[in-house]
Amino acid sequence: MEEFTLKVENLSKSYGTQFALSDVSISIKPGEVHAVIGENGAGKSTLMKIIAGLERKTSGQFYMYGRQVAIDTPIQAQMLGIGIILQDIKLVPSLSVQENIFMGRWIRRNKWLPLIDVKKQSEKAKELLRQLKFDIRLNEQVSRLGSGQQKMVEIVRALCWDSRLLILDEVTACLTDRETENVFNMIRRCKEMGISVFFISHKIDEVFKIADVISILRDGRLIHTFDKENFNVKTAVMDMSGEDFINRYPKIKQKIGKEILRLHDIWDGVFLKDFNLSLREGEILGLTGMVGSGRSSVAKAIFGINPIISGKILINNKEAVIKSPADAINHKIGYIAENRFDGLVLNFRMPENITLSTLKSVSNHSIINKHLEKSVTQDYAKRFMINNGNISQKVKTMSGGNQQKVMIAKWLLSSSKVFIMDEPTKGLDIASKVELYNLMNKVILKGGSILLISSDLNEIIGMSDRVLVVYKGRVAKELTNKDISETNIMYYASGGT
Amino acid sequence: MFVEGKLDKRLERIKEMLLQYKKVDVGSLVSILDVSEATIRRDLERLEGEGFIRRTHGGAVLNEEYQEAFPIQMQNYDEKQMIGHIASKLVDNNEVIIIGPGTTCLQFAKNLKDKKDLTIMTNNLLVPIELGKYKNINIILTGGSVYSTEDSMSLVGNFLYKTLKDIYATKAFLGVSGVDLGVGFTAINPELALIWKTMSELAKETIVLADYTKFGNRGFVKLADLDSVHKIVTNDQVPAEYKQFFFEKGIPVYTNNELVI
Repeated sequence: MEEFTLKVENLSKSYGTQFALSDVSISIKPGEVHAVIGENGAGKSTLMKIIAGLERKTSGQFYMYGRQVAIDTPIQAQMLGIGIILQDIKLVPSLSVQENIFMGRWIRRNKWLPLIDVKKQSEKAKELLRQLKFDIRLNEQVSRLGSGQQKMVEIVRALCWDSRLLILDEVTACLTDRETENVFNMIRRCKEMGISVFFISHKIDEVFKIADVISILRDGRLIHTFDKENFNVKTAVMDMSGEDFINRYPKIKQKIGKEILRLHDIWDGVFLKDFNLSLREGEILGLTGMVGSGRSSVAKAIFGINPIISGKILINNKEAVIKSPADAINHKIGYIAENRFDGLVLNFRMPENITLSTLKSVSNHSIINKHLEKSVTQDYAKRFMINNGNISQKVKTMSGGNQQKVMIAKWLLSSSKVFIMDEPTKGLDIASKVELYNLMNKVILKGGSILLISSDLNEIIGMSDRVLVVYKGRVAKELTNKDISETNIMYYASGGT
Repeated sequence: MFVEGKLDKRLERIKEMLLQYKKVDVGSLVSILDVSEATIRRDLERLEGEGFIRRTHGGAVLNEEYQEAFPIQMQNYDEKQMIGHIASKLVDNNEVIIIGPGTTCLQFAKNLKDKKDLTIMTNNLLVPIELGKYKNINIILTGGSVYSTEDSMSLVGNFLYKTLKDIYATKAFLGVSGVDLGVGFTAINPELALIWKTMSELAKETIVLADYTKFGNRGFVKLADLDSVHKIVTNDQVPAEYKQFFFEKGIPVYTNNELVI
């Protein structure tokens, strides 16, 4: 028998002229856990999606057990015994475990009648659960399971479909340590059964725990493949991070004043554990971490979207009770959400949008003064160069950059002091990015402070006065001055200590 | 031009009132001049920039020391003032910097009053007039012959190069006449171009101050390639292709079109 379950040769994937993967060759043996690590955007997920038939390759070959195969559709991949499990749960919550496992691949009583052989199904599932040592009732409704158990049900489903190769893409991103450990135990059983596992994760410590072989991807290229024994975390981080930082960011150093916001031992019951941070006047505090580290949960906790179970938020050294976005707005907090549509009413034009959180300031006796609203907006549109001063367009037809500016103008108008910006430049063209960085300077010069949450490490390094690296819901490291580097951020964001 | 005229008239009215009453408040100005509060605040910011007044909470008082030593006609005054304000944020205490000739550089110098132990080497004769009285700022003038235009006064010629020998500065803040993707930075005459190059070479970093009207312009003499400088300070109105070009070349572009103090 051929040595490799799957061998991928010279795989490339391009979108237009942009290469997401170039010339990647990777292989996996039966019973092997092969981890693929790399920064956001390195091409890990693209590689896995192509192997699972979810995306089509541009060029390259696949061999399964030595025989060349075509993988162009998810069905082809499934027929070849390739199963993929993604970060989000892909189960029907209102159905039972058994129904979920066999959905789309029911075992029939016979080939003439469309009747499901429930007994045979449950026998097959039970046998598998026994092998995997997974103790779960087959008729349990999926919505009653924890997310760790749901992940495990997904693995069981893939195996019931006779998968020989499992792809686990960031499956532990939203799991607790305990749930992760359970999933790992299941992966170990899979190994014993001779199943190959591609394991994608941001967390180096996890990778180290479970993988036999580790490959590093950077900018769509495979940089290195190591056996676990030869793997060194520090050099891996260097391999992952690539070119030196070029300071292309228009950062202004403003005098940093007193503390304006403090989070003290925040616990939100989901992601954040004993989370602490302190933001000062005139400061841009960078907050970064891998997907699922809890970096966006910080924003949601401060803005009153996710409830806080324990811990305190202090504003100007006084405890603030923030139970809703309205409370946060009253405390002069503005939130520019990762998804711009969370903060804008798309069918409204700019005036209605920017005065939305401060209607009192444009109203006389509870009646909105449309004339005043318009003149205020005109003033902002001119001063912030929004949409070339054209305010009559509906927000949904504006460019991403202009939408983002409308959002910031909205918070400036309601005289916010703390600006939480979650991925503010995501999806913007370069010129709009430059404009947004300068808008951040304006916020600072007007006496505001910014909590900049971003997965773009260069942006974090270029614009922040200080950087907090979040790992598993906690601040793993605070970096200042010369220590703010891509290598350091990657190291602590991947679980380095 | 109609709008310009209205603005000048309004500023004159405010000045008159200040000379008469020594102080004004925003509320009264709004009702007397029948314009918005935002407009009045901007007018006051402008007068403060000229040194005519000091702004106070809710209004302004006449700056008694104010005297118009060199009344100059400046084009794009607001834009230059904003550039000067942002550019001053790029100067640290205890630095040795070079300031070039021209009105934008003058606006920049006006914002340096609060820096500690700053040493300025310049051929811009309006700089010592602005900053000469501040003890925290040490100004060294180059030699040279006086060269005046309607809005500037500077030193040029052989003596200038003699005094610019063996000098080393951290940053040179220099204006230009044109910024063009095709030809690079340009100046209007060879004399100014030579001074620009000399000053640029003496500093570790060259920071170009250019209001947005300079972009897409070509002067007579080339100064340098666009990617040979270290930072650009300009206005928001700069065309997108320039913002993209400089970002991709690793050169930060600082922009502003609103005075925030």
